[in-house]
Amino acid sequence: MNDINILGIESSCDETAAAVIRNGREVRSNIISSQIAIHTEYGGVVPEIASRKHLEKIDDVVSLALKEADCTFDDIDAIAVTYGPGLVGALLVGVAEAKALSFALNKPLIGVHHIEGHISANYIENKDLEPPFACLIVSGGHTHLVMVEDYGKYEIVGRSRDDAAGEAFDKVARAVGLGYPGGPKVDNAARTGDPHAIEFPRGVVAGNPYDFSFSGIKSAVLNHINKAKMTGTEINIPDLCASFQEAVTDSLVSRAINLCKERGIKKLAIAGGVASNSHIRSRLESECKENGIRFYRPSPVLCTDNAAMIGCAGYYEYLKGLRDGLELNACPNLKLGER
Amino acid sequence: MLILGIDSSGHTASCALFSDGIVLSEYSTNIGLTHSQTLLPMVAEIFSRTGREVKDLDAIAVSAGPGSFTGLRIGASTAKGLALGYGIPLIEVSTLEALARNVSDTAELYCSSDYTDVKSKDNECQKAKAADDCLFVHPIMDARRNQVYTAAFVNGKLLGSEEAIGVDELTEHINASGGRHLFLGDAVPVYKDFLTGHLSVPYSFAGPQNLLQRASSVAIIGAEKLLKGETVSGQDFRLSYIRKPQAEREREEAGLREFDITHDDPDKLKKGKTVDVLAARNYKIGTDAGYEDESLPENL
Repeated sequence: MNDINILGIESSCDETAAAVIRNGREVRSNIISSQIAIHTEYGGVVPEIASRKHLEKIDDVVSLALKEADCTFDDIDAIAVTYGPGLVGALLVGVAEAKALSFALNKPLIGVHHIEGHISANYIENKDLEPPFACLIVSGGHTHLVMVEDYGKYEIVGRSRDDAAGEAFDKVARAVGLGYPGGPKVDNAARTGDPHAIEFPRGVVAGNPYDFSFSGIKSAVLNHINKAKMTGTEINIPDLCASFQEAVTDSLVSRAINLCKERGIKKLAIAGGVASNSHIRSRLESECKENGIRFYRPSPVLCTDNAAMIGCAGYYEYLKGLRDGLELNACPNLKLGER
Repeated sequence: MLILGIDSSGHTASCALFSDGIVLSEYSTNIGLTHSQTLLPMVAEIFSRTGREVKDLDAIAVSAGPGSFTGLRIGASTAKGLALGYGIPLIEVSTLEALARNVSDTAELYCSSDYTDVKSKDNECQKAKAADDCLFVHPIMDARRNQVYTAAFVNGKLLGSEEAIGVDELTEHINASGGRHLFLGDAVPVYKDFLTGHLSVPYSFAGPQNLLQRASSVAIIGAEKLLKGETVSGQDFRLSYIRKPQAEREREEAGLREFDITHDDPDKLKKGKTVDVLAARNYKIGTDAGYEDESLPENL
């Protein structure tokens, strides 16, 4: 069988990325231009700035992806691009560029769901991982617990009713003055803190035992800070971060492990930007071990937004014969499993 | 010489193929669909109808602003994608200049020779009384907040600079300038009544066929710029938004309120040049499952 090379393109938020993936799981190049340094000055991602920077960098990033993979457009079999969910103006840059390349070069075009990309990041470093498995997706915009039944086929078992886990991290980081991006800052600060110093609520949701809620935890943290400010008590930031992180981790880990136990699933993966949180990783690791579940996690660089995961997800769509036309549009609110 | 022109800076999505002085084909739609859905299928259609291919292009001319931020980016990223595949150069064309070109065929008839050689610094030109027969072309694009993106053109040449300006202020400048004035652009329907009520000089409005952006005008200017060697690579292509993002403006305004005197950052001066914070990097992934490096690279 001939090798299949997919050019992946990703521009859904604040990372402009392109990658060349051989046969679905081999990363020939993984190029990222990150805008974090710019958005940090604003305390969060500014959509208009993100869109402008994507347009400036996208050619650089795609060209470098080919160069580092030591190939040309002739070697590319298909172009896979994130078309949602995400910031619409940001998505449009990648989508328009990918569509134009697909038309100019007469190569098939495959629109990829951003979250499907995150899930697929697990395939890259785990050559033996095949569906079915359970996957916990935690990022700045999404918190989902899904059953990956087959490539591109998902059952959403639980989702956040309010804030995404990553949003809660960002808001707490801002409230204690750690700045943006909140995830790694809270993770770092929590290393020296006591996770049981403050007992924050665990966000139980009525109706579905697998749904999440993080706004309650976030509000409890903000209340705690306000109360401390009013009474003039000094806030122990490491303790606060560790306790908050513990509450979020408990919510995530308990549901993921319960799902595996209830359905007798022996494989659990995590995905998304927050999946690089060291505490969540180590807790899942140890609880999976206790319960005889094999735990899969992408290395941190594959948890962040990247195009290698888009190329990987695109490869499996390609094998299934899925193709998109030149009218493909950016879908900022695309649901998982929809096309 | 074969040039593809693209304009999606406003409500109209438009593309045109221009070859050796002839507009081979031009497609425009203004039907309320997003440019993301309409533009590239139209480009595909124009190539299949004319039997030409992307690789035959000498350059792609694209509306580079001002205009709708998102619209401009759809046009630009489409052009960049087309160009990247075959290393075709891009040409940045001002949206306002291209709009003015929609009516260029009439310019020479009406303009006195005094204005044929105006250079960009001739802002005074507008202030000085112009000959009565001189025709000023004013593309006006709705920039919201009671402003328009505009510039004045005489014989297709830019007077002064492109700017976002209040319609009342624009009207004052025009009333002081003499000459005849022709308006076109998507702000005409918005401000027609205001202009009619406040202009004291002879004026007219372009008809619907010439009112909005047309890719043929972009392509024609592109052909002229190609002859002068004014092309850019996809990497160097930049849009002229005129306006900064709102968050950036607010931040600057807040900054200026806080500090009366601004100093250059001494650290930056020492370095000589600023670091490219967006530098693209290859983040290599091992072939085996291995989690040795559990930390994120510093810039991610």
